[in-house]
Amino acid sequence: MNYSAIGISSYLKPLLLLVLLLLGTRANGQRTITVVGSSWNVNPEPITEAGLNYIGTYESASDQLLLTARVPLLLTSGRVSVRYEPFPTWNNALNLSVRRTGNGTTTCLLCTINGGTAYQPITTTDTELFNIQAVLALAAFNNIPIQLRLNGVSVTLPTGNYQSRVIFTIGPN
Amino acid sequence: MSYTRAILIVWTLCIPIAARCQTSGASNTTITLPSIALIDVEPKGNITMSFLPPTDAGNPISPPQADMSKWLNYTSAVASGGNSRSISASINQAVPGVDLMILTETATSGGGNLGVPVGQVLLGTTPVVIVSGIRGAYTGNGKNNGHRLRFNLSTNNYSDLGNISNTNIIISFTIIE
Repeated sequence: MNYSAIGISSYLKPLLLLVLLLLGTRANGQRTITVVGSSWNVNPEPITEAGLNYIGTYESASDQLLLTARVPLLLTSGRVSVRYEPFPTWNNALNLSVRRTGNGTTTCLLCTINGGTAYQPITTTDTELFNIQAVLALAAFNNIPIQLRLNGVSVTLPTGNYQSRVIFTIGPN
Repeated sequence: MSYTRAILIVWTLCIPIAARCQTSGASNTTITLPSIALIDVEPKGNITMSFLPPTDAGNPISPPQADMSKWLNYTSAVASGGNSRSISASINQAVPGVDLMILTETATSGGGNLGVPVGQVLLGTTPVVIVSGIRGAYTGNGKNNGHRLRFNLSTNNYSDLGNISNTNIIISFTIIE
């Protein structure tokens, strides 16, 4: 079967293709996020004087992680949230925080990125870090720098290895 | 263009988009907390303890009256479920006719699971526990932090006192599991 056989004029073909393409991409959840950067290995200072505790608070590099988030025009906005999960062992006294230290780069002049510039605690529940608004174009913010902070480090915690997984998720506002 | 061809084009275009449709990403944070067992006595320096002569004939000598306090500082980090730690004290030599005792007070600074002092004990060449039950804890550093140690001298055999002169005694403190 072809279009001419069912009476669809040729100028409608591109439109049909576009509609099908958009439907297909929408079904696939086209907001995307990628996380680039090495794992953050926190190295507390050695304690050399009896009676002392660790300083307790440590910050990663200001661009420890680089996020790239994309929000298609049709969806107009995206919400980037963050949570952590033990991987496999963590201690609840170890408190992770996260902040956005820059906007990254974008070619979309009217698109905006908002929120997340002050440290906020990371919990085991998704919490909004920042949001992106797409205006008349694909909102793609590349290499958004992310900084992590860990506090609560103390000799009062059991010794051992602790690891958590910080998960960034993009979704609708 | 056939209907089949159109669908194929759309499908082909969607494949890479679907592949890039990653709605989450992750990174790991790791920290290793090592076992720690540090102990110190503050402030630094020796203690000079001198019996005081009697002012009236027939009275015994008196123990030193000056404040001979030191402070026991420690930092301890232990594994979950691991053994607690204790601190023992000993002297390198006994002095004939004299008892040297140490009174360990409760720590009022620092944090964590600080140890429990056993009170006053007689020091000998065999180590004796003065603080027990230490787990993950820190006392703070320096004078007025940690457990206050008070040293007391007393006579136990007056007839031995005439045979001794000034004697240097080393008191050793050890933290063990």
